[in-house]
Amino acid sequence: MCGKFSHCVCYKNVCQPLLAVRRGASTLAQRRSGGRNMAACLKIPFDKLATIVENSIHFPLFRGYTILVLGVGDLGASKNPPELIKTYALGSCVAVILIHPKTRVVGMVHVALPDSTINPQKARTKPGYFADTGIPALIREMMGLGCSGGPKQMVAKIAGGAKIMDPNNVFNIGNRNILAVKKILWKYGVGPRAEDVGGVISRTVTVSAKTGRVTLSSPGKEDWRL
Amino acid sequence: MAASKKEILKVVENIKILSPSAGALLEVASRPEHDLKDIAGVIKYDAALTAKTLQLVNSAAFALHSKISDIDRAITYIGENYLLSLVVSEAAKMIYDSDLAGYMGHKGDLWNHNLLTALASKKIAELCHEPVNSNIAFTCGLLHDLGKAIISDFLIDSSSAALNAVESGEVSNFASAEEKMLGIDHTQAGHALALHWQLPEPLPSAMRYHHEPSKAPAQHRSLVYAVHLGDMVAMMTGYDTGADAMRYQLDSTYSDYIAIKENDLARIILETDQEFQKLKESMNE
Repeated sequence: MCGKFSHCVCYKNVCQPLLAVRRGASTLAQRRSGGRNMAACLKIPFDKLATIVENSIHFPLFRGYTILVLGVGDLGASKNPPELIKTYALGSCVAVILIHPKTRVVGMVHVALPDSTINPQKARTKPGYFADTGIPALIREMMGLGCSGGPKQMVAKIAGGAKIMDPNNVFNIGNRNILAVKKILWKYGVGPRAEDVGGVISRTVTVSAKTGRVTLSSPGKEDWRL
Repeated sequence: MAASKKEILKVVENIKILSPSAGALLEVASRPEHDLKDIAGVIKYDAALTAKTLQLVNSAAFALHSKISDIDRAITYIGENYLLSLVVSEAAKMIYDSDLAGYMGHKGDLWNHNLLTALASKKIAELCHEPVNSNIAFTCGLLHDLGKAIISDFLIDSSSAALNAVESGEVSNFASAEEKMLGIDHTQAGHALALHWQLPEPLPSAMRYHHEPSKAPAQHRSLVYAVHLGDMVAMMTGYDTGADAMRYQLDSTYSDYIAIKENDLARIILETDQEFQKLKESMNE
């Protein structure tokens, strides 16, 4: 657990302090790859923060919302209605979104690679990096927030896994990520209810804890719902 | 279209030339047989670079027990790649500061993308069939996409059309769309900049051919393939430059030059991400 913010469930333990306050701002330019460089998962109180000046990283401000930004390999969950969970520029990575309708807890993990056997140590320090450790860790996290009835009571959605055509079958990691994620979800009896995967597009995903709504975006395209 | 190309090349001509130290460092770093002593020889005679190097080595990211004040020790400790990153980020600051509006990107995206590409290219270069200096692959990666900052402003009004051209299949990748809209793509603009800065080979070739590595001069082809794959790794892991993300084709003949397997790629993705975070942390202090 993060320890710096009361609701944050990131594994980084290095969440950034608030550096600047701009009250009353409506919308700021979206920052696509913000959270990851700070090696942190950020928790931003909605009524205080619009921009983090020191790192030149801007976050979209939705009046009345708190935003939890997940970098590569991060996972996070929330049962706090005025909250968004967001992850930027997935590339060939896959975002797995779990929603527990009964408790309205939502969670997301940003999976970069299919299989943790390549680096078990990394899987221990950052389970979200891999499909086979990230999804179980997210489920545990959500159970800890009171999701009763096990993973079968959850709804899963997945996005990302952009494709690179490679007849040598080396660079098709997007496809391998998608297959690995589905395999793990099926193991838990949770087939994805919706998916927006593959293609040659890098997606940004936003999940609303209030409504469970999953919104996708990509530079040059209108936002769309999953 | 022709006017745009001419205008873009005019912009390149007006870009400030590199500082003598940065130029000398890139020249030394491009020699196949160079070592850290040659790099140190340039750094030591530039007071500002010496100060920056000492500041970097004593940053929290290196977690030293005691402060280093001797420049030779600092250079040995930091290593070539960190030094190159430091020098290039300063020397080309005006270019890296671009907000890439024409790509619907953001300030910092270009630096992050080039840095991740550099780290990945270095690791991939170690897997080339023929010996390639992996530190040179790093330097090539660090510079490979500078042309995007040059054409970005000219793309603002046509970026949606460029995107549509790729999505409709009218052109096969975003660089072709740039050329269709402006008469020049970012690799050609980057190559013009490399010539303007009088960068030594293989840097201009990497900037020109990183999307078409098979067209690179034979003596640099393996290295350019490494940068081509490094560029792909950066986009796959989300360190892209905006609307053009993932909209380039992989040249699958890379296997004629590089022996990379599925597990190698996974390891490279993991390691480059870790090194990227450390490098960014040290440079942000």
